[in-house]
Amino acid sequence: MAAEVKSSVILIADDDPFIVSLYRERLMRMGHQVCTVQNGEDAIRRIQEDPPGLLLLDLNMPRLDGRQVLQFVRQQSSTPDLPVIVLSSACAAEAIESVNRFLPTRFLIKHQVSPKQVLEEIRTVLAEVAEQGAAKPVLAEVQVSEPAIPVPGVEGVAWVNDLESAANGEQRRDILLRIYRTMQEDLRTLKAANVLSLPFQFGEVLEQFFEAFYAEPDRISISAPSTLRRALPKLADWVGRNGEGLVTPEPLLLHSFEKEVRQGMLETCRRPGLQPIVTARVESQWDLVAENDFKTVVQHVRKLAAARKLVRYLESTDLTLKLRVLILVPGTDWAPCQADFQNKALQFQALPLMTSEMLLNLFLLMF
Amino acid sequence: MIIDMQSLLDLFDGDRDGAKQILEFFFDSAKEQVKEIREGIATANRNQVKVAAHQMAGATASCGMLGLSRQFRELESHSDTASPEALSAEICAILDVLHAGELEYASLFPEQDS
Repeated sequence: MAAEVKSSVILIADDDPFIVSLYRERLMRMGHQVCTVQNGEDAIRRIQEDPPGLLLLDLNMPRLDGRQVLQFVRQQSSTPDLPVIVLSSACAAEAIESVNRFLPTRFLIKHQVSPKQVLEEIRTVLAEVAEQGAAKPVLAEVQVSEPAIPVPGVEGVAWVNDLESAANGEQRRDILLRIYRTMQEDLRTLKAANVLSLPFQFGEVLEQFFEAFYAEPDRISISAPSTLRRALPKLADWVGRNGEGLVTPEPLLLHSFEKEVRQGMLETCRRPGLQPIVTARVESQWDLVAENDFKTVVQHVRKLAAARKLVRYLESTDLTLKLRVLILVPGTDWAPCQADFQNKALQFQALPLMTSEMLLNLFLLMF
Repeated sequence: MIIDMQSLLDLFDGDRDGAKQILEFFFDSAKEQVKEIREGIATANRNQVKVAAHQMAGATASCGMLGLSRQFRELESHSDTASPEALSAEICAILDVLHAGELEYASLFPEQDS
């Protein structure tokens, strides 16, 4: 008899819709009929009604787990040899041993096999059944637990939590200083040189900001109209109260389309003797940046259209050769337009959680 | 690189559309699972965190995102004992990588702007 695999009815028992979708689609393309259930009870019911040619079985399911389903299958007179491929994330010794008792045909651990390998195993098992009438169980070996793997960025996120729970500006400032000192000891390099449209991690923003500022302490331009409008009075007060002994603030380039905002910013900054350069048009802002030898620009934009306009403008000049531009954008829905900003000499950071308080604290650290 | 595109294309016999569809589905369902995890952390429902992390560990492994799979498995293993703050920190770090994966996906399958 030829060892061709006939199409079979394959039952997938898994409560993860993604896994179900992935394997259902692939198995149907291979010519098999596929049924799916999301819990152990339904799996048993389905097997009793009409035993499939093969069962692809997850272990962690609601309403009877995979182990109980396997036990049922092996103990029923109608299905003792039903090919069962266990596909699970569980790799603890106890899980494997408890399942091995009931002789699964295969025990595959999700993070140790690719979907392609799973499909190959299904093919192999079905071929064995076609040739020999049954497939011989290959039991999983008990693995030694992997050591814990440190999750990168956890510390940075803990800082974000600290910052957000700080009671007042002074506490926030102390936390930011602590973050900065820690980063000084272990400063991570900025991620890729070209466009980074990264999801928000305030710690990473701080890192980039500090690296930009402290590595190149020449002028920094910050453009964040209404955010700035709220932050500036507090900044002015703080500078006014703490002016003595401060390093002279670097010139601050402020930009807003709104006249009222520009006037407000100008008045606010003059009081404590800050040296704002205030502009209205995007082009003016960038001309001034070039003329005044700014090294870093942090541009806060709210809308995709504004970001595009900015990028187009910068591309029409050679400013990006001289400047590090960090574009702060709200939200995480910038991914679809990421391609537009690829390979530009810009850094583009998504900041869904940037608040005026956080921006203020960045200012405080600058000064 | 977060998405193992070669493995995915291998799985789909070179069919980019198939790979794209499954990735799209993955990222959609990932959003839901992450929401479950965050809700679970916020309401101290550790089982909810565990279940969602477990599912994501499997789904990410199936998409060839083995680093992310490891992170979800770590989260799953910590879900019973770690403090809510530590769990929050873990899921935030995971979100970073997930978002980077979404961006990789967007660059692999660029779409027209809305």
